[in-house]
Amino acid sequence: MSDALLEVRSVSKWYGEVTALSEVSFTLGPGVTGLLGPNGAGKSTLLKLAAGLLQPSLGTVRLGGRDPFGSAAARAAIGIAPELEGFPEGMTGLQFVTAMLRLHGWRGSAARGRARKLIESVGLADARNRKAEGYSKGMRQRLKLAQALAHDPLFLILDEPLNGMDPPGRREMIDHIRALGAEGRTVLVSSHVLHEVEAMTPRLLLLNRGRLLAEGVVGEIRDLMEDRPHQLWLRCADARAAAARLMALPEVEALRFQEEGFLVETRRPERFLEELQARAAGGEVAVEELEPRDENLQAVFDYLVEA
Amino acid sequence: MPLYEAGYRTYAGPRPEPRFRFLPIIRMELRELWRLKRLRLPFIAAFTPCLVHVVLLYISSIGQYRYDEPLKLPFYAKYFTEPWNWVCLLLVTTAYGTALIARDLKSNALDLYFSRPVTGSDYVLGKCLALATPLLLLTMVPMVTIWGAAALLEPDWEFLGQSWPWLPKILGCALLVTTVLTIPCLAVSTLSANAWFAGGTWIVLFLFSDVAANLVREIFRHSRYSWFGLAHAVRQTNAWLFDPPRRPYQFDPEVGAGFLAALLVLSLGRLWWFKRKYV
Repeated sequence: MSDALLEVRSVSKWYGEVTALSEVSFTLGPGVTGLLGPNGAGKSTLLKLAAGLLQPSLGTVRLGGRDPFGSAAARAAIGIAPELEGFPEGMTGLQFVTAMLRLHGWRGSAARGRARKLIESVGLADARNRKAEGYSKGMRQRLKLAQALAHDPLFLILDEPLNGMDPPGRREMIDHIRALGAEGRTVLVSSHVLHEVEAMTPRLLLLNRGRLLAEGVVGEIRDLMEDRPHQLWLRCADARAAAARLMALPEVEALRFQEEGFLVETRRPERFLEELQARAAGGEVAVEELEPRDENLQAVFDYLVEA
Repeated sequence: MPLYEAGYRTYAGPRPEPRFRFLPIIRMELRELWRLKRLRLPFIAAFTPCLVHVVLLYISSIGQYRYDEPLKLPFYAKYFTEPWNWVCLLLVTTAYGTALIARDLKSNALDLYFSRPVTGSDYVLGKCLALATPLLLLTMVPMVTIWGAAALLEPDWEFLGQSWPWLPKILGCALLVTTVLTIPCLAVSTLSANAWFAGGTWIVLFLFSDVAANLVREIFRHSRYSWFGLAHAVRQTNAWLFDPPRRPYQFDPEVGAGFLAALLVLSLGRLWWFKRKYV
């Protein structure tokens, strides 16, 4: 049986004549998944559809087998930290989280106790009795996470959770999000900052112009891009001699010198690495450093968006 | 496991589904109302006439001066459409009521509500009751206080015996004023994310209907066509409810009531359209 909590099937969404999403399908299971895309890619629309805040124009969204738009029970399993700038005026952080818990049916001291615990868990214990509208941007992000987690949801939606946070705060938040995924929650994190998402998870959904470009782990997505040769950068003791020997290999499509080393382009990286290993063992090539150059998220993203 | 098998399930396991999901919304808004300093003056002002009437009744009961207005039925029929009280209600609805939804639209707080087990109906009902509660307090409490003071300060129990059937009418009058102000005010609040704009629109609509109705009355030299003034229609309908010997306007009370009903239907339609967008 599939352990997918969220199933999105052939979903399209348009606003008047503007198509925000087109034929998007994917499933999400436990763990952290990054939702990436440039501005206007349709990330916010997709998050709203997953949270039951919008109804698709075509297709279906199912959360645990139910349509989150029409089912209060399904939405009870969602925790969302939206791109929210304003908080209810006059409320302290603690009162805000308590109020959000009351919407889930928590009552009296149980709600207050739970809210206090959550506020402490995101590092806002000292500021819990301060007005939320006076919080810094980083503190607001923490507060949003606290209210999203307050009712112990199965599915978490975090929209740009690291915006406005300082570097130590970012690290802390990334660790927190990874821990939530490791607990077995399904976490969908939207961002347009690639290295931040890369630090949280290798699993991705890549959106561009309303279309889902790719879904899966970065390395797997890269392997599927057969039209693009893999790029490996090498630094060797005698670069010219090593380059000449490697150029003779049938796996090597192109080779060019770059940054005190050279860049090899190959469509069969495993086979090339075997050959390289054999030559290194035979003393023909003295490899000092080897680095895949386009197996990171940035490269994959650039390839897909360019395509 | 599908959620429909587990019911309302969280990571830690099933929880009972919350009932009366609009109650936390009322609570949040009333807390906000309590905090709003700018509303203290209209609240005090709204209770001032009531205190004046009670003091006058007391003076009347101990001295030569006879003050018997609150002992007559028409007094209650027109109490809340007297300019002073009407302006107080206008101030409260403008400063508090028109911001109820506009503020959430501006701060994107609707995402917080509707990603939870709260439906559009829960939200609108919660906001309606959050506005209706202070309005009911402002309308019913002064009227019941004046009636109670009049009954207690009379030398015998004759007035109480005669006037106790007025109580359901007072309640009906307070409910009418509250409903007629609450629902259109909230409908106006859905029009914009800018609370100032919503407030301005509400003042213009509120005053325009009465100013235009007064103009029509002046032009025709009778009030047969001034039923579209909000205060006029409310006052005439209240008079109909209380059935006093003389009605303040020349148009049929049914016409005034029909105008108010049309206004409510229009406002409810707007609220229904708004809530339909969210679950």
